[in-house]
Amino acid sequence: MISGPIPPHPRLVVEGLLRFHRSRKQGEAAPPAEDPGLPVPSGADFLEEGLELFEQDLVLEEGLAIDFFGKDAGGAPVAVLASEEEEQDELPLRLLDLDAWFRRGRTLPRGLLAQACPALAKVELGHGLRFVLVAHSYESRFLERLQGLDALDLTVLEFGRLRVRGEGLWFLRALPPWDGDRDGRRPLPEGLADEDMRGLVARLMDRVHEIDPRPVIQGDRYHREIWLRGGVHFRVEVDGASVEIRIPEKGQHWILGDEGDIDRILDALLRVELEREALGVPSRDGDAEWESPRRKNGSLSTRSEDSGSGGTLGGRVHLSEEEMAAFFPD
Amino acid sequence: MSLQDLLQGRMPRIFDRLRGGRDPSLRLGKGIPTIGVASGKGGTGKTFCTVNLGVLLAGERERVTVLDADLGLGNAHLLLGLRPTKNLQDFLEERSGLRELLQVSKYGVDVLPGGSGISRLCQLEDVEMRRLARSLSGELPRARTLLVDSAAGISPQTLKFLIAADLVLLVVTPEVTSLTDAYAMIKCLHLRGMESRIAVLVNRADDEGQALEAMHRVQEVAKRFLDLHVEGCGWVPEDPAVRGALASRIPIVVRAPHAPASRGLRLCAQRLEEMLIGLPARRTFPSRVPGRSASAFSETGGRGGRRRRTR
Ligand SMILES: Nc1ncnc2c1ncn2[C@@H]1O[C@H](COP(=O)(O)OP(=O)(O)OP(=O)(O)O)[C@@H](O)[C@H]1O
Ligand SMILES: [Mg+2]
Repeated sequence: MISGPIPPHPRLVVEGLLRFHRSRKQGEAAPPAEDPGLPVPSGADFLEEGLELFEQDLVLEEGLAIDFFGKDAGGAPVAVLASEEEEQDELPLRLLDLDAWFRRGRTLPRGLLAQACPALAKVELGHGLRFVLVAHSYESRFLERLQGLDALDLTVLEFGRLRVRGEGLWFLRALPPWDGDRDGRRPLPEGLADEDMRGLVARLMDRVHEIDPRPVIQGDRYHREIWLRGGVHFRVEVDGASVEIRIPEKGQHWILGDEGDIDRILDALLRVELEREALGVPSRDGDAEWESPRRKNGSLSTRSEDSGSGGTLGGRVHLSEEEMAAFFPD
Repeated sequence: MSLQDLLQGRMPRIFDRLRGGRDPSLRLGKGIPTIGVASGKGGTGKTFCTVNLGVLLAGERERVTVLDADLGLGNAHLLLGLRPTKNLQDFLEERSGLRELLQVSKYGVDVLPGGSGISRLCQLEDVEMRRLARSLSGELPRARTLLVDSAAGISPQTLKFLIAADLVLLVVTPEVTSLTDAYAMIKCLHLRGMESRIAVLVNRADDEGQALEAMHRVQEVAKRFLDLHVEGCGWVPEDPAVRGALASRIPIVVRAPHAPASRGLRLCAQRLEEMLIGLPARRTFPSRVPGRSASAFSETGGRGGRRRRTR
């Protein structure tokens, strides 16, 4: 893991993530330990759910290049641009140039484009180009300029470091309002034509934003997978004019019919959220780390100790046989 | 800790440090009585009780602040229909002062929102805890009582918050695993030399008999094995109205004041008021409980306290 105050260039970060992601996809569970100096946020998926990058340093024409090129879950072309703060002055112009290039490209015959640049054949050019910006930090002046570019489809990611029980860990987070969920484009599956149902699903999603204003959404024309606060997961499935909502973790599902269903679904989601692990402590039913004292033979221990890193206030609480017996009088 | 450390007498010093309660700079909200709400087991209703007790404890002029110390999945704001854009994480990373975080609700309770997602990984260092403690007393002049809603379980993080409180309120449910986990928490706090008062509230009980039995069991075991007096703070029944209140984002004591759970919560709040009067930090405030006089104040102050804390 990285130590020291100087973070690597954002390009290296994306490269590291990409490598990690690929090795994971190929079934290699272990993070690339041979890559010291490359941050790997633990548990984090690659930049965005469903994002696939297949070309590095894609040169479209002289002076116009994309750091990493690929497509998102919906097949739209994505340009990932990684920059240091000093490079951000030129970024807005570059974004506009790239956007213009893709708009022109859309009007060209597909075969011709693919011949010139095979990577372009793998994406749906009709969707328009999306940008994912990655940096350690952004100057406020730069962010102000970005505000002016609201015709572009931008996702702005920032990465940083956290201290976790004395160990450094990297994280990536999306900056609002460029967190990839603008104008509610994504919550509604395009395949749902019924206007009333669209309204109902839209209201459900509005309410869901109360739990998490920035849910992670993935899916295709007929379904959406939605993750709230990084964990609570539900599914919206379109079948003709009807919509089914599922919470797989709980085995619950509803055919969406009226506002009352929205209340019930929200209530169920809230419950799942409330029951979820906090700080690694299991939900109400307990789990392996925190067994019921009876099962564990009267020995309760803290999470930190189990994981082997000694927090100053953690420690083992041992309940003796007599203490346990006092709770089980018969 | 090596044997050598022990021989060189480092042990007692380190031990002192572990007893966070001894370090006055680590106490939260100096001058504001602080109640740390905890459980052993998760999902016993800590957040539910914290928020509703907060609403009941809030006065007309003075406000109650809920510090959502669940840095992983804080949700106290949800129960009040608040939508914070910042949370404690922003304070800890020095992007925001405490006052900017404060979410003011319509119900006399303000929330300092806990973290979510990534922040669950964070460990609060002593320096950060000190900064939080300083800001709590400096930046929240209107706060009359501070309620700290903690994350479930005995994590170092949670213990740090609890040890920094004047009173620890354990919310338990009648199941035996909840009681043993609560007792484990009490023992853990006791072993770390915490000298604050400890009280138990039984939530989600079927009836009074079940609630009292659960409460007495914890009190009895703590007395017998730790020689510790654990106070009773009352009980709240299992109530289907809780669900509706949760969905409406209005605290149940406001939305359904006559629901069984609300009635139980009111009695608990009264009991808590009495305990607050006995807290050292509370002495700067005149008694606010109707019909309670200065003599009642000293009565309550002397009773129940396990050991007098010297400050
Ligand atoms: N008296 C009650 N009657 C019915 N339901 C209740 C009661 N008290 C709490 N609940 C429900 O129990 C669930 C858990 O409550 P809450 O979130 O307050 O627990 P918690 O102890 O804060 O959980 P965590 O340990 O995850 O922080 C919620 O859905 C809440 O509405
Ligand atoms: Mg809670």
